[in-house]
Amino acid sequence: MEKEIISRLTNKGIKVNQEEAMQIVEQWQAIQNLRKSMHNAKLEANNIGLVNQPGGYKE
Amino acid sequence: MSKSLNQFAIEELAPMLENKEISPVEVTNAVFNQIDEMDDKINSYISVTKDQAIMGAKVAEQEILSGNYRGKLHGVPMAIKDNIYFKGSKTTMGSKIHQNFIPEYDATVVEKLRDQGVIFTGKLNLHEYAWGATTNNPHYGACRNPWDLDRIPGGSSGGSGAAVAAHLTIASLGTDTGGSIRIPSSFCGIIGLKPTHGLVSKHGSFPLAWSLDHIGPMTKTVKDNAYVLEAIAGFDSKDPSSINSDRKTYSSMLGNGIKGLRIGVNEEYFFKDVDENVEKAVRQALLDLEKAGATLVEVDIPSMVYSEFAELVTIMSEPSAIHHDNLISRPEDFGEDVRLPLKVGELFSAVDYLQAQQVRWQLNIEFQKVFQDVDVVITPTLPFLPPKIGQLTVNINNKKDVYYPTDIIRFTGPFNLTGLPAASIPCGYANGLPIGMQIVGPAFREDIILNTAYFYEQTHMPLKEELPIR
Repeated sequence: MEKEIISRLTNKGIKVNQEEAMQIVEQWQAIQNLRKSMHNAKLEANNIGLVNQPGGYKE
Repeated sequence: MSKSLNQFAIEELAPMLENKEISPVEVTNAVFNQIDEMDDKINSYISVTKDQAIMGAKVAEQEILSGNYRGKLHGVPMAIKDNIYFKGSKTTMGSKIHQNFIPEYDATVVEKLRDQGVIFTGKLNLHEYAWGATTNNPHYGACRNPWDLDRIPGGSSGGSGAAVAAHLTIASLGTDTGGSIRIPSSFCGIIGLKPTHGLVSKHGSFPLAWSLDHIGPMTKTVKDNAYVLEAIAGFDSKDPSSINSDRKTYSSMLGNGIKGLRIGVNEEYFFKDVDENVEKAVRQALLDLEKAGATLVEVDIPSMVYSEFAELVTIMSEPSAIHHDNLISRPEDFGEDVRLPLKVGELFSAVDYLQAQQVRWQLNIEFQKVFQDVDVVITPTLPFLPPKIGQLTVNINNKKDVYYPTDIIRFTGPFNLTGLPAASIPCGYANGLPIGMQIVGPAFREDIILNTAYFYEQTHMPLKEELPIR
């Protein structure tokens, strides 16, 4: 995973040293654990609004 | 021991200023005396604007003496987080990259406060670019919690929280993208309100994550919060997310009691993995409110389980888009704790981001249903007490170590996702440190939140502890 992450970032022109790479991997793995919860999310196809909707929601 | 003028709240100062019993110059001098005496310990200010402030105070004094009193904020010193633009004054965003940035215009909130006759005492410390919750700033020094100088004040508006708590200003403004007003308000024992998205213009504030950002008041009392909110709220054509809602005089909507108030409580998400001291204080507050005539109602919010992922994807992707070019061309100019999440934010896919926005919409729909059954929802503001500066994990109840820089927004972040208004108010102390309770309301119902907070504040005055430092 570390190699893949370094490659994705360097392809964008972002430098990553070894120590940073380890920390980035650690954070990315923690996010992947949260992502697992999304497998159960029943996202509605209609809920496609980009929600910087003024007021937080519309009726 | 009598209080010095910098220790007063706006609600106490305003009548004395209006009746010409005290002068804005005296109040402003008292604030600067406190800054001289204390701020080398706390480091809440990045820049102090003493000459302009004294000049402004003299003008306000003359206006009031000649009968032109503008309102509750006239002649009141305030300080502003240093990511909110002041025309002609250095505005650093707490960063090295913007260390010499001088805006050519005032933020709309600054313009509005100037119109009310506010005296600006300076610009307040923050987490670099507001991207973090410690205010352990590598470029301007760590801001310290006035309740324990070894601990963080929270962030990103840490300077705003610490300055109000330590009487280094009378009131302040903060910005809030994942909890950055409410977190330092909770850790510093003050009142902080994140208004409904669109109620307060963001024009002239440097974005962290544009779809989650808000500006709001941080104050010593609930009534002060209402005074500042009514001064800064309102439609602004310069902010594309601004909304033309009804103008409200929030300060006149306090004191209505809470008999019949329906309070929503969500055990499943908001009382899980919480420090026992925090849980005890918030549960006691809920019981007190129930005894006073409110009803507690358990509410179901099924999509909360996805909110942490949605919050992280959004709050990490949008800043990476903003700082993308600097991350490539001058990465060494970011502090390490900002540079790393900016790099992580580059890894999300467009699908991740868009699914996160779908979750936001779903959460909004669920909260609409919740607010058909209740008037407010109450939660702990934070899962734990203020950590020590430099510490990265927090142990919860001797059971679990959590990496707190992300866990800290677990309870506040959902209301940035939904844009719903939410305030933090003090509800107790443990180990000499303040604990905050979060009150959330329906969109544009800041009046209900503030009335509930006001009732709690008025009935729990003995809870207020004195700061251990002077």
